[in-house]
Amino acid sequence: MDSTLLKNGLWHNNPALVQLLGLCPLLAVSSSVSNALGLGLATTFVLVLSNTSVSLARRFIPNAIRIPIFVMIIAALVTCVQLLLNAFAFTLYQSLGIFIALIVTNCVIIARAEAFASKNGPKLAAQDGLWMGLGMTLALVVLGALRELLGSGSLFAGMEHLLGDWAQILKVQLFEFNEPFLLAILPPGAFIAVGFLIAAKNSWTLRAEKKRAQAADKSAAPAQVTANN
Amino acid sequence: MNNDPQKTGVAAANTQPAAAQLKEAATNSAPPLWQQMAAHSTTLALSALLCTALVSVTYLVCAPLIQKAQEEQHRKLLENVLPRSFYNNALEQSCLWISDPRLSKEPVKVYVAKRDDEPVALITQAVAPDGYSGAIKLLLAVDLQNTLLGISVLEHHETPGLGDKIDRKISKWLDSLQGKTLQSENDTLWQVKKDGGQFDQFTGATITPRAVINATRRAIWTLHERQSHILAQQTRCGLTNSEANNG
Repeated sequence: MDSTLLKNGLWHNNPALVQLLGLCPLLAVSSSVSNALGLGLATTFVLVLSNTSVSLARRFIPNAIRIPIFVMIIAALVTCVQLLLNAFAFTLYQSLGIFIALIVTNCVIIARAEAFASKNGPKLAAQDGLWMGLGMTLALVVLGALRELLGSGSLFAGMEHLLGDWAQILKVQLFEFNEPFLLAILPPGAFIAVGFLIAAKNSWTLRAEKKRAQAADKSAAPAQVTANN
Repeated sequence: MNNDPQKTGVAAANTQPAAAQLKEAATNSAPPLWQQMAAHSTTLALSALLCTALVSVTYLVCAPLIQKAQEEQHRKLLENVLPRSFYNNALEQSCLWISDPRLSKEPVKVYVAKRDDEPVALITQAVAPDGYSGAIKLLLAVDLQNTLLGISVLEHHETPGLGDKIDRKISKWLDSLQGKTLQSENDTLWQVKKDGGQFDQFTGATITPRAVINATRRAIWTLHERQSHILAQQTRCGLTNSEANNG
């Protein structure tokens, strides 16, 4: 396990909040936690598979035609995943079906193939896929929770379509509206929420950097810091 | 001490392909363009072949399972609107195609449920063309006295949080239609309360339930008018020709 890949995927280089990749499915299906989790996990699965296979094939792929070959590999993998889910997990397929087709449009996958998997061994590539996918899932779930909470006052509604009937008890209705807050539910709300999330992450990062700089300053030249203040 | 093992790992892994690329570039400058093109097209074609083979094999393995799952799904849909206890014939083979603009623009399958060879109910698809965002597809079961036995939504694109309450996964609103009888073609009770009928509309969304109720009323009346015609036909529609040949 490589902790840098973990930190990069989940935070420093988060695909949704820093690389701003895969916004189309991100905005389309983040209206509730259960949808977000479904798309996130499906994306992670495909990302691990595609990163691994691109990495394994990287020595046989001429540089000039790598992009079309990546596209073919990803398209074939997504189709296979869709077929397999349809055949072996029909109920899961019914709740994830539309998301799986959306994964093809998710540029995170080709971006990781190009930027990482084509230059690293299969072990590293698979880990990168895993953490990038989970980073995407994390951003999606936070966004889904925000929108579900603001839009309909609940959390984890519809988890039973993802996890089975027992998950019905997960639903929490925090408050009730007479009219649902439409802006949060519709795609424009997703844009705004994603903007706020990115802003929050950026300000956090900035503050952390400032603190580190200050700490470095203090240890190096404490007198100057007080003078500046 | 090196506190960034990942970067060095990547760098180490990078050196080899980079060197290989350099070497490749050096040797590549020699062969003429058409040779490179031929080599690349061959590689592309080969990888396309591989990918297609992968998808084809997966499809061949999955296709029968998928068909089984879909048939199972179809059976469940029918069971949702009409429980098995109502009939004892082979419902999937007891149906006929009907085209009527009041049901749908396309021809729809109407199933005849029989108990001991006596018809007891009809199941049909119906489309409400005037949903808030596009058509709403319904499946409904009606007995021979115009009472709605069961209804479910097969497909809709209504606004999440507003109109999607017609979906059983979201709310129980559809249950309020079940068990109600249509008395005449323009039964005023078959409307939302806002229009003077007996069914609740949703807060902030009247168009969706209105569309569903109107489509249901039209469908029940259409089945009523065509009842004798439907029951007179001897049908066996479960298998299309190709499926029959395969089986």
